[in-house]
Amino acid sequence: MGCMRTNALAAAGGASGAAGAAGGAACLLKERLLGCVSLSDGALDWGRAAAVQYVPKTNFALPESVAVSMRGAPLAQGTDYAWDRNTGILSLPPAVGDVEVTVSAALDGTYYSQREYIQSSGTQYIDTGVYGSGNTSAELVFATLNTYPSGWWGVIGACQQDMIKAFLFDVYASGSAKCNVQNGTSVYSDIQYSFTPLTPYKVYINKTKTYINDVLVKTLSSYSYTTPVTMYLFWQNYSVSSSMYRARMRLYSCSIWESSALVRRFVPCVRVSDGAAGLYDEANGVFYGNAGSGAFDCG
Amino acid sequence: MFLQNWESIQTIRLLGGVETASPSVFGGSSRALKGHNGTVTAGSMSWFGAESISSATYYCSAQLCGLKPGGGWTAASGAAELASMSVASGLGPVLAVGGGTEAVTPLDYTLSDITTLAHAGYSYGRPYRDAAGWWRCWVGRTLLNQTGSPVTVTELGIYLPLYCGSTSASVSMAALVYRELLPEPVTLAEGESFGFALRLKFYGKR
Repeated sequence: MGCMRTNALAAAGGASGAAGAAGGAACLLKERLLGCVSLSDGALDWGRAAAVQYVPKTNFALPESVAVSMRGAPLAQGTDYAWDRNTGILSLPPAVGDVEVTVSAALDGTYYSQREYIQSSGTQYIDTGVYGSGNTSAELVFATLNTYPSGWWGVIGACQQDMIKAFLFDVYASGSAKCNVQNGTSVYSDIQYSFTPLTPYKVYINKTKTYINDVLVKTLSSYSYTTPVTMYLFWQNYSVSSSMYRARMRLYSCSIWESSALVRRFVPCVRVSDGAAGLYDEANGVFYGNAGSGAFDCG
Repeated sequence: MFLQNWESIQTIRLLGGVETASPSVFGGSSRALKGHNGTVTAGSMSWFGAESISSATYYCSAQLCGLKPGGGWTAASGAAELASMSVASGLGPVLAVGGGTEAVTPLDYTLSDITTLAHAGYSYGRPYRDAAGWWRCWVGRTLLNQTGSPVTVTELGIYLPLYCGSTSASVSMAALVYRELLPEPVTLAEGESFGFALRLKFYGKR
């Protein structure tokens, strides 16, 4: 936020007019967006109907419906608010509290066709191109399969060698008993947890804290490090040698942040030109294909 | 609308409202601080008017269009708590809430502060300048009711941390620079969070 000093401070008021005589009171507009950007400035004038426009990113198409709630209460499309996917204009009722909007655009199928998940069989992996560090956060949704490696297998991670400069989330065998998280050198911990096969689980590693399905399951100490190699999905990238199994799992989504900056936001997809399943990075508009052998399955 | 009187340091006198100094105040030789000459109307932003009463080098700093709380300001609520804190230079406004219902006047110097709501987060819109030359932005703050009882908010205000100094003295203070009655009261149930926000616009020279 840049500093601004003014020579003359004058009347405050709404950017497009204010509600009533009082002037500038506003409500927060909280947006969850995928594959599109908002032209809103993030606030709505109090008590005034408003229109917000959303623009799809390249290769994405706006959805048929969007979700809106006000002050925690869901609103009904067509009744409480109107959505035009052709123009991207969302017409909202007068705001009298926090307004939450979710717009999930999908890959439009021209070059990439969106899928619910991609699935590995133990030979595939994806190089995210992102180095892990003590400031890295990652959120992913994955599911174990009915067949699985006999030891530890990597979901996401990189390291110099075992437990040295390591960012890692991994699962043991079927996942029926434990998983493991690492964040630095000799900063790691097993987590007693049971994953039901074919059931999606959300894992959120927020620097030192690890959540599974929004429940805090482990807090590690902070550690200053950077992985010497970039992080893999479906495996752990080693700069020395690998002793980690490649995953047999389904991946539904994955986002990676460096500090608070989003650097990857992966969407499962199939590349139309060759039918290859992989991940489309919504944040940068880049396709990431299989870096291993074989091919991903998808569903 | 002030919590503390700048006259206490005998360097800068505030006249009803304050105007921030020129953009080059840090290092510029001319302060050109102006006395208040504007009309403060209900619900409008008060002017900042200040004048130098000494030949020494004085400066003040504040950021109103932007949200840059720091230190204890981050989670403070209420004039008393804010006024007890040390203010460094370059901080931004603190959006506060109250339970008062009196009409807004230029003489307001505090809200009927509600200090029982827990701070949950700040938010802001990036300032931009429109085609007419007005700077526009908004600031917001989410508060959480963990009191065990409903809490009703009727007014919003902005306390601005101001840091003023010279070669020999400095002072920091919190000034209520804006107050507004909500169009309708908001009652936060136990456990409920609510985002309060204010849109602001300023006219400033480049």
